[in-house]
Order: sequence, then structure tokens, then C-alpha cells
Amino acid sequence: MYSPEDLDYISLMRLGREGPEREDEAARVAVLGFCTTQYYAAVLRGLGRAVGFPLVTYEPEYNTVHQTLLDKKSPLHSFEPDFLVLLTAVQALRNVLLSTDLGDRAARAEQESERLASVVRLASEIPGVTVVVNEFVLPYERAWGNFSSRVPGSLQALVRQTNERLRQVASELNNVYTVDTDYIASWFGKSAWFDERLWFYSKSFSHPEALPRVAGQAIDIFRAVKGKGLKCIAMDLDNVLWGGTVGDDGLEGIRLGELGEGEAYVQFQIWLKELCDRGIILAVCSKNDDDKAREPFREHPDMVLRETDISCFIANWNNKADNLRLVAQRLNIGLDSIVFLDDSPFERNLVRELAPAACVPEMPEDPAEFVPYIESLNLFETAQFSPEDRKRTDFYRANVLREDEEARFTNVDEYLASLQMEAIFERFDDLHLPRIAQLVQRTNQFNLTTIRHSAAELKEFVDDPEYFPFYVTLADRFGESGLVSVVIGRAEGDCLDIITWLMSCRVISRRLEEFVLDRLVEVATNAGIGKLRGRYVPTKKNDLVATHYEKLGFRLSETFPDESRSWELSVRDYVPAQPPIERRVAQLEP
Amino acid sequence: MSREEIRQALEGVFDEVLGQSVELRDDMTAADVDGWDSVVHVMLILATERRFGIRFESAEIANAGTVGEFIDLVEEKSNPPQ
Repeated sequence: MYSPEDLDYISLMRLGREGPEREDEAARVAVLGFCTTQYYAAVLRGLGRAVGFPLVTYEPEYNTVHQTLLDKKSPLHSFEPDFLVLLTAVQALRNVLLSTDLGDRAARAEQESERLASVVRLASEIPGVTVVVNEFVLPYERAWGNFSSRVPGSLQALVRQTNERLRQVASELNNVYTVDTDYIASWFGKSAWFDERLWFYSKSFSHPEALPRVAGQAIDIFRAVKGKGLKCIAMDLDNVLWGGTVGDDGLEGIRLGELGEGEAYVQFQIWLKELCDRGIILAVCSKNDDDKAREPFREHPDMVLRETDISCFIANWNNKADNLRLVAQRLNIGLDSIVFLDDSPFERNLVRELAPAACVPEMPEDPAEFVPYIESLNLFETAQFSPEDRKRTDFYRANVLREDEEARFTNVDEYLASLQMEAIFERFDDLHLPRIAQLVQRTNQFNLTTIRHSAAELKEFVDDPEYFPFYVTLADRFGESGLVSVVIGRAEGDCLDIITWLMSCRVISRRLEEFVLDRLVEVATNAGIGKLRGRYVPTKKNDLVATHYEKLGFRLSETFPDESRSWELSVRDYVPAQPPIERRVAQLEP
Repeated sequence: MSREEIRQALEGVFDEVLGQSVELRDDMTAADVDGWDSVVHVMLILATERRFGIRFESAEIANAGTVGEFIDLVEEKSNPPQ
């Protein structure tokens, strides 16, 4: 998290000119543009350094976007960018369009859009790259005044169309994202954004003062693509969800509802509810007696959030850093994916001190400013969205209930049997591809090879007889866990090579991997294949599965110089593990 | 603001933009200061605008004269005639 208004463009540019502290860990970002790129690139580097996302940049000569992309020998390609940012300048587009006769202008705009679309496509073909395209800011010129948007050839109408085209191209390519630059410019203030002096003198698309905000959007997207997004809001209750202290003021005394500041709290809750429905997990972290803290959720008529919206509810008198760790542990997520919201500067500082990995924004004193302030931080950028995300609150809530249940058992097997688990194990199909792609992109811990197959690749596996691509869903009496595991085999003679095996962390320790292996052996047997081969490729995050194959009874067959290891299992000798998981046949969802 | 005060404040601006202190003399030009390239030039202009609450016109941005001329310009803009 960072707050762009705390970050001064002049000091960021100075910082950016110094380069990153450690080049080997830095992301590689190419910055191309139809304008000067140096200001943006310097601010981007400075901001990356200031917020702990170190990066190095490559910029080609001024206004050589097309040539640079087309020339496979250009330094851009040997730079091997992780990210490519494409900067647009509405000032340049404006000049092209306004110098075209009104009657021909729509066609000309179409031509420009197509040229831009082809540039974006070219960029997206660089191996391993993620492309971030800045949309055009709507120009300030309105030759027809407010009527402009109704005139097909007006600058306003054509720039809107061009942006639409850019978004469309991005939605067709799985590694392209757009920045809603007009939103940023509006928030910043367009009269300050546009500085024609700087456009004329140095082809700068905005006043550099706006650049920390613009560059921040790209870094937010970089983080989201790398799976470093924030997943959970852990919030205090008194003076956050309602005004006053429920323990002292009582249910009737708290300020919540249509009167005065009460409405601001309602609005804040509506905003939280929207995030919750989108898949951001909500947790409560409050210094209160548990029953007092739950009372408004149960009985206050103006509460928007209900107990069922809260995946993990912690109200006690322990210190908040410990409670936040408990939230992380109970939800099985990293402390660094939690945002902590608390009105008390003391609690915020305590958490910053004792649980520094958590994201702790300031909170305005006035509840009316909660939403605009937190929105300005863009904390919840995402690189994808699937219907599965919307169920996430239920998944996590069920997990917490499951843990409470587990505490009642002394024997793990009895506990697992009591869950009445059911799993689906099926070949990939189009319906499940978006969620499969999401898991492949996001899973870091339980991931044996961490190969990030692209959506297009995954789609090709569907009908390829050489491949054995499967997804797994899990459900139990507490609810659905959804699509939680992916395993992809490739037949190679008498061997089924497991090129990818990954599983969501939320179903660890449920013996689901044993269920999957039982099925894989069946698949191999049916295909007349005698051997399974798996590989463990160590990364910084997948220590968890270092002994995965060993535990499942595979034999070590080879150790490679990069410390990855290959394991084999004879299908004929395998004794099925038969964990207490019932196989269910997939039914087409409505 | 006196000419000397402006010079000192400008030295602060150069420090802010370049990250190093520069002693400004009237006869200096961009060529005499390490790192004063075209990007830094714009940053110096903008940082000066912010520091003094003034605004330069296009022609003034483009016209890279001596430090002395620049100080004169800042003086003229920050002390408008009554």
C-alpha cells in the first residue's frame, strides 16, 4: 500500500534516477509511448523503490513504438521484459483527428484504433510479458460544448470509442490490462492534469505531478498479476462499522442508520458488502466481549453486514497484532494479504510495529471520508474475476467452522470421515477453464512445478489426446470448497508425466492429494500406461510440497542441477490410499 | 524577496531535483551543472514554480539562458510591480 499524495513527484523522480537497490530482484519493465517516456519511467522506478516493488526500466527512442516492437533484434526483446507499459497521449491523437475532415474522421479514428490494437497484440506476443496499456484521457476540448458527445465525429466521441476498442483487445488477450487513465485524471483534476506548455515543450502527456498516481496503477496491476494482491479486510467495530462503543452505549446508543453520521457508517458497510460479494474476505478484529460485538450484527435493523458476511470473527481483549495473526492463521492466508482498518491510531501503530507485514492504512476521523480515502489507495486491484470469487466468503467461513469442529476430535481420520467429503475429478472443459486458469496463475505454495500455463495453452489441453488435464472440486457438509486442484499429465510412451500438480491452500490436510493420486493411477491403468512420473521444482514459496511425492510413495529417480527432483511410481504396484472422500460425478451447472 | 534570497532558495530547488547541492553563479548555464539535461530542466522549472508560487510561460521554459537571467525572471515574477 502507498498513498500517492504522500509521495512527491520530484523526490520520486530523483529516487528513480538512482536505480534500484538490488537489480537482481527487480522486475523488468519496458516503457513505450506515443509521448516522452522518461518522466513516467523515472517516477515508476522511484515509486517501485519507495513501495518495495523494485524495478528496472527499458525505454526505446522517442516515438518508435511500432518499429521497436516489430524489430525482433531491438534491445527491447533482449531486455526480456516482465511487463510492458504502453503510454498514450490524447494530445497526439487529437492532432491526428482534428487535422482530418469531419466527414472522414470516424474512419480515421478507426484506423488509429486498429493500429493501436495491432501494437498491443505485438507487445503481448513477447514471451512471458504482461502488457499494461494506459487508456486515453478524454480531452478537454469540446467543439460542440456539452452537445459534443452526441456528435459522431467529435473528439470526445472518438476518444471514447478508441478506449472501448483498447478494452476489447485487452479482454481478448489474457496478458493485457488497461489503466482507466481518465478516472485517474478526473480524480487528480483535469485542469491540473493537462499542461499544454509541457506537451509542446517536451511531449509530456500530463503534468508530472499526476505521475505518481498513474504509475501507481501500473504497479498495482503488476502486483495483482504476480498474485500479491490483498485478500482480506480485518476491521475494528466501534467507530468503524458504527459510531460509538457498543459495550458502553448499548445497541440503542450506537450511531448507525439514516440520521447524521449514522448514514456514513451505513454507506461504509454497503461498500464493504460490495467488496465481500466480489470475493474480498471480511474479518472482525475487535476489543470487545464476543456477545456484545455480535449483538448489532444480529439485532440492529440498520446493519448492512451480517454475521454470514464475516469469515472470521474475533472479539476479545488480547492485543490486536496477535488477533490479526490469528485471523491469518484461521483463514490460512498470509499476514501480508490482510488490510487492517481501525480508527485508533494506537492500534494502527501497534499493528504496524508488531505485525509489519499487514497493510495498515490511515483512517480519516470523519466516517464520511472512509470510502473516498480507502478508494484512493486502490487496495483491491485484481488481474481476473470469476464466479468462484463470489463464493469465497462462504468457503473461508466454512473453513473456520470446520476448524472448530476439528478441535472436538482427537483423531484426524475420524474428523475427516465426519466431514462427509465429496470430490469431482474430471477432464478440463470450457466451463471450468477460467477458474482453472486463475488457480494456475495464483497458486504458489502447493504447486509442484509452478508452470504458469496461459489460458490459451490450457484450452488446447482440453482436446489433446496426449494430455490428461484434470480439475478437482471438493465439498463437504460445511459447504462447497469449489474447484481447488489441477493436475495435468502428458503421456510419454509408458509414462504419464505429471507436468503440473497444484492445490489451493484452503483444502490442505484433507487427503485430497491422495484421492487425486488414486484417480491418476486409474487413468494411467485405463490408458495402458505403466508409470507415473512427477517433478518437484523448488521455488521460494513451495517448500510445503518438497516431500509431496515421497509421502505418496513415489521413488526418487533423478536430481537435477537446479535442485529439482524427479520421482516415479509404478502403477501396477500401487495400493490405493482410499481416503474418506466420495467421488461424485460432475453435473453440468445450469 | 531579494535577489540573494532567491538564489539561496533556488539552490534548495536544485538540491531537491538533483539530489546534490550546487552553488549557483550568475554566469552558469545548463552545461556547467552535472545532470542538468532536458528532463531535469523541466523538473527544475516545475520545482521552481512550486517553490515560489509562480508560473512560467512556454517561451520562458524553452529559453535556457544563464542562471543570472533565470534569477532575474524569478525575481520579476515573485515581486510583481505594484
